[in-house]
Amino acid sequence: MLRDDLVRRASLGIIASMAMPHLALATTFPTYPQLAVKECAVSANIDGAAIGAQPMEDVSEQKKFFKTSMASKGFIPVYIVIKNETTDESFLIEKSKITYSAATSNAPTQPDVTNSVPRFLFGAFVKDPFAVQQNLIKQELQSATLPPGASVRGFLYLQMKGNPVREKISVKIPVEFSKAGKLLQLAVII
Amino acid sequence: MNSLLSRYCANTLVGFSLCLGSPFTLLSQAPNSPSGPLHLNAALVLSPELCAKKVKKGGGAFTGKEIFDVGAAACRQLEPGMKPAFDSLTRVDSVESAGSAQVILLPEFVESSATRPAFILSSQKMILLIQWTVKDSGGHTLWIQTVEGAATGHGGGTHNSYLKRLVEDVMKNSAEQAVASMTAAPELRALSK
Repeated sequence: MLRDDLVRRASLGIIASMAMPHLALATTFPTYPQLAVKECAVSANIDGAAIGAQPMEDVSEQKKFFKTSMASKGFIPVYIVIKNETTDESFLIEKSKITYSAATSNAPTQPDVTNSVPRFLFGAFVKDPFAVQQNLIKQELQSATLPPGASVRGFLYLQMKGNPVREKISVKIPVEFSKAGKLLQLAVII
Repeated sequence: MNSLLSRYCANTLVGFSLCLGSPFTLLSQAPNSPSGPLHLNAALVLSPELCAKKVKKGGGAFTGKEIFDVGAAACRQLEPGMKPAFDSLTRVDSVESAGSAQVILLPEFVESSATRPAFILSSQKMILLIQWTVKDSGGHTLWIQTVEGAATGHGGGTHNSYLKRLVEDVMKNSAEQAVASMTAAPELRALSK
């Protein structure tokens, strides 16, 4: 009887010791503020398609929100918000059509979390790299259809050049209006 | 790790109740659409390439490899999961087979990610992003949206069966989120009048 009780208590202790570190060590990420278009460092509006862009230059801010320094790996996260300020027409944003390049270059590339971000995460000493990677994916700007008044937000992770001062980056986001099929291109330089 | 957990679950009373009780928890539930299904005939394109898609995660010096059979799960779960969104939904394997469908649904994997449990009883969170493109019969894109499905696994069974259940749960949640997004989309709702 006594032995059974000891076994039961030991089992409970083992379970508790295995469960508690999980509760204490789960990686959590603070929520980045939902900036409006006009609150961003750079903004533009073409025919009712409004865009705001806010580069996250500060490494301490990167560590706070992403738990890793992206600047030291040659990347800069850029917060993007796009709002449909028309009154009667939806438009489509397709992530695979977003491109960026050095402002002085004509060779655009695609921001791609799959091909860029995970590669450097696992080569570095990042605590809980799988959680960090998942957060980067969750925070990334994605494709969306925006009815009048709606917004889409998220980060683009862009490779940067230049040392100690980074080169300006030109980001181009095509917008397709759903009714007439009108195409326009939102462009910001950050 | 999971076989160890299985043995542990079987050998202790508390472990048994912990391990049997709701091994998977969906992170979020899609709200029921207040406006009901779209009055449209839809074709869901699940191509052989999509059904064969596997995602490999980890496999570095310090991380074991995990293979997620996302394509097979999609081709099991998306058809029943998407049916509540439309009056009629037919599964096809290519756009050319869509026949007289009013709208064509094209799912595409964008990205997936799974955390790693640090301890035996830690949970594993998986997310899966699917971009849904809805086109009309003329090929014009009507609507596009990336939808995030998510689920949390707590182990149990063999590692392969555990991963399979985790992916199936993510896919079910992804379909629920897609149904909620599509039925709430004014662009599609306008067509279904």
